[in-house]
Amino acid sequence: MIAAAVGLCFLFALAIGVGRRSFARVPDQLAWLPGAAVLAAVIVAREEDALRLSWLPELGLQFVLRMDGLGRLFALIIACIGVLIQAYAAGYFSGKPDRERLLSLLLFFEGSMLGLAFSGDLLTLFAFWELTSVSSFLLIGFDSQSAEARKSAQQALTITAAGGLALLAGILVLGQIGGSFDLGVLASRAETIARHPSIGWAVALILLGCFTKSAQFPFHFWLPGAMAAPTPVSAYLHSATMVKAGVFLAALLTPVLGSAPLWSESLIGFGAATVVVGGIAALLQTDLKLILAYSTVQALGSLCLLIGVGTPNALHAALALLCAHALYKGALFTVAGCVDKQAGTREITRLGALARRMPVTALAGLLAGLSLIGAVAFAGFTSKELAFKSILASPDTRWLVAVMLLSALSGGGVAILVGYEVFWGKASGPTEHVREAKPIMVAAPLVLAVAGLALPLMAGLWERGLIQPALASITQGQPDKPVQPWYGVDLVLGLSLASWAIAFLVYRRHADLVHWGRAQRAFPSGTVLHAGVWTGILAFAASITRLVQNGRLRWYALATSAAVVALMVLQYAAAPGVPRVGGTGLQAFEALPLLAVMVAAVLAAASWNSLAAVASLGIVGWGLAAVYVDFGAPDLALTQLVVEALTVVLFVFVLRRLPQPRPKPDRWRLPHALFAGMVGCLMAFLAFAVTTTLPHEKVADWHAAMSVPEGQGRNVVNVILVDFRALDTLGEITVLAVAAVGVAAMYRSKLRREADR
Amino acid sequence: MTVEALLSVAVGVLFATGLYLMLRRTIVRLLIGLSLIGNAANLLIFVAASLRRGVPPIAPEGAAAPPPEAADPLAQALILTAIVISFGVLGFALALTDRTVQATGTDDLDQMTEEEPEP
Repeated sequence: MIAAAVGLCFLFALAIGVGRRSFARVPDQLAWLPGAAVLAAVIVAREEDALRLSWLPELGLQFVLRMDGLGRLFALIIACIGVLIQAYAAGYFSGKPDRERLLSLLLFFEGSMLGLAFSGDLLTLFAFWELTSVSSFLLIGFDSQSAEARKSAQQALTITAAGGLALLAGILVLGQIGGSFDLGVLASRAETIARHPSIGWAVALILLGCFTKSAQFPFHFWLPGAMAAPTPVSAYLHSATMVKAGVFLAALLTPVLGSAPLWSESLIGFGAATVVVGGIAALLQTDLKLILAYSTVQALGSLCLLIGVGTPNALHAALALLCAHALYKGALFTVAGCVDKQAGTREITRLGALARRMPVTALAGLLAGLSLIGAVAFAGFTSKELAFKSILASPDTRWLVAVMLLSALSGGGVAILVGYEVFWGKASGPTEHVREAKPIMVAAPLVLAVAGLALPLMAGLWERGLIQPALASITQGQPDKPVQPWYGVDLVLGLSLASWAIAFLVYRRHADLVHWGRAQRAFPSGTVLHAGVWTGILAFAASITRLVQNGRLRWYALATSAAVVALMVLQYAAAPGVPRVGGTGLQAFEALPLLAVMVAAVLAAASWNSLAAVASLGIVGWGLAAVYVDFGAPDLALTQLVVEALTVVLFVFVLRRLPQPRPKPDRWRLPHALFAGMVGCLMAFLAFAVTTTLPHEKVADWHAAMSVPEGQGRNVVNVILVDFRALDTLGEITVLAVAAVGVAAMYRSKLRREADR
Repeated sequence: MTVEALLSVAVGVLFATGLYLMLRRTIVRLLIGLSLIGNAANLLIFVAASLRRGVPPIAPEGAAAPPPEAADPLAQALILTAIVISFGVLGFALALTDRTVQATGTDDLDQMTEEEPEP
C-alpha cells in the first residue's frame, strides 16, 4: 500500500492531466475524491509493505519505499492536507479551465512528496526531492502569463535546484563514507561515520540542500517570492508540506549525522538566524500572504533549531510543532485565500470588519489564530510549551530562549493581524459587497482550524498514534512530558503571557512598524542579490555566445581549422620525427595530371569568374581520377569522373540563377591567404609524413583474403562496400536520400508559395 | 622527387586553396572551396594507404585473392563512400544557396548575417 499511495497520485495526476476536457464537466464537489483515495492508502499502509527494487545492483543502487514512524507522520500530514487543499483548489478555480491543470499538478506534487516521505534510500529520496522542486516550479509559475510569477518560479527553482545539487554531492560523500545509501544501514554505522575525517563535507552539503529547500536564512527570500502562486498552492506547498522537506530530511538523518561535527551547530545557528529574520520581516508586511510567508520562514527556523538541539525533548517538540504548524498555517493561508477572493484584496490596510460578512471564514481564522498565538488547549500552545521546556532543560541552549521568545511574539502578532484584525478590526472600506465563500472553500480552513483544537484534546491519540512512533524512528530517548493541552502554571506559561502582551503591543503599533520597515530598503534583499547574480550569469553567457557564435560562417571555418592545426602541431611537438626520405620514383606522365590539379586549384581560388572557377574544379576532379587510375583504383576513378561531371552540371545550373559575383572589399584577404598557405604546408607535411613513416600493415589484408571465399566477389572494393561494410553503405544511401528530400522540400515550398500568390 | 612527395604537395595545395575559398564572403566561392577540401581529404586518405602502381585489388579469374602487391581496397572503399556523400552534401548546399540568394537578394555571407533578426 506504500507504493500504491505514491503510484495513485501519479496515476491520478496523469489521468486528470491527459483527460482535462472530460474532467472539466465533473463538479467541484468531487475534487477531493482522488486525494481521499490516496489518504485511505496511506492510512491502511503497514510497515511490512516496504517495496525494494534493485536499480543498478552493480553500483549498490536501490529503489526503496518503506514507512517508518516519521515517514508515516509526514505522509499523513501531506495526504490529509492534500484532500482539503484539492477540494479548496477546485472551488478556488471553479469553472475555469485551469482547474484540472492545477489539480493534476497538485496530485503530481503529492506523489513526489509522499515518495520523499517513504524513501528508505538516500538516492531514491533525492529523486523525489528533485520532483518536488520541479512541481513547485510549475506551481509557482502556474499563472504563466504573469512575468512576476515566471520570475518567482525561476528564482525558487534556481535556489532549490542549486541546493539539490549540493544535496546530491553530500549524499554521494555520505554514501562513500558509510558504504551504503540505505538509511537503515547508515544509521547502524553512525558512530564510525561521525568519526570519519571527511564527514564535515557531507554534513555541510546535505545541510545546504535542507536550508535552501526549507527557506533558511540566507536563502529564505525565495519563499515570499513563491507567493506569486495561487493561494491553494501557497497553503499546501509553501507552508504545510514542501518547505518542510528540508526539516524532514534533517530529522531523518539525525540518527546518522546527529553526533557528526557541524551538524547541530549549523542547524541551531542558521535556524536561529532564520527565526530572527523571518519573525521580524513577518511583522513589517501588509499583504496577508507575505505576512504568512515570513511567518512560515520563522516557523521553519524554529523547526531547524529544535532538530539542531537534538535532545529527545527538543525532537519531541519539533514533531509537535510540525503538526501544529501544518494545521494553523494551512488554515490561515486558506482563510487568506477566501478573503482575497471574496473581498478582492489581500492588503491588510484595506481589510477589516469582515466577521459579519464571512462568519465561517472568520471562525476558522479565529481558531487558527488562537492556535498560532499559543492559546491554552490549542495545538500551538502544546508545541510552544514543549519547545520552551526543551530549550530550558539544557544549560547549553538556554540562550535560545531569547530567540524562541521572538518567535512567540512574532507568531502572536501575525495571529492577531490575520485571525483578528481582518474580521473584527476597524472597517477601512465598504464591506457590503463581500459574501461568504463557497462551502467547499471554507471547509478546508475550518477543518484544519478545528483539528488544531481537537488534537490536544485527544492528546493520547496524538502522542501514541503519531508522535511517539515518529520520535522512535529518530531517537532512542524518551521526552519528559507527553503532549498535553495544559502544563500547569510555571515559568514557561509566564514567558507565554509576556509574549502575548508584547504581541498585542506590536499589533497596536503595526502601522509604525510597516512604516519603519519601508525605510530600511537600503539593506540589499536576497531577491536583489539573486537577480544580480542571475543577470550577471546571463550577460556572461551572452558575451561568450557573441564571441564564439557571431553568426559569421567564415569565423567558424577559421576557428575550426585553426583548432585542427593547433592540435596537429601540439601532437607533433610531443613526439617530433623527421619523415624518412624514400618511396616510389616519379614518372613523367604521372607529374602531368598532378600539376594540372594544382594549377587548376590555384585558378579556382583566384578567378572571379564563377564559370571559370567551376571549370577548374572539374579539372581538379578529373586530374584526381587520373591519379586513381594510375595507382590501381579504377572504381574510384569511375565514380570520381561521374560525380565530377554531375557536380559541374549542378553548379552551372545554379550559377545561371545567381548574380555574377563581384569582388567585395575584404581586408582579410591577405591574412586568410597566409593562414590557408600555412595550413596547406602542414597538411602536405602530414601527408608526406604518413606515407613515409607509417608501417604498412594493411588493415585491408583480411578483406582481401576473405573477399572471394566469404563475399563471393572478386572486386574487393565492391565486396567491402556491399558486404563487409554494407551498413556504412546503407548510411551513405540514407544521407543521399535525406539530401534529395531536403532539396525537393526547398523547391516544393517555393512552388507552393508562388501558387498561393 | 618521389610520387609521394608530389602527391603530398598536391594535397597541401588543395587544402590551402579550399580553405582560402571557404573563408571568402561570396557564397559560391565557399561551395567551390568545400568541394576542393573534399577532394583534398580523399587524396590524403589515398596517399596514406600505400601507393601501388597499376594493380587494382581485384582477384584474377580463378584465384582466391588479389595479388599481394595490389592496392589497399579498404582506403578505396572509404574514399568511394566519401565522394558520394560529398556529392550529396554539395547538391543540398547548392539548392540551399539558390533559395537563400533568391530570398535575401545577396550572395554576400556577411550581409546575410546582418539581415538575420537579432535573437
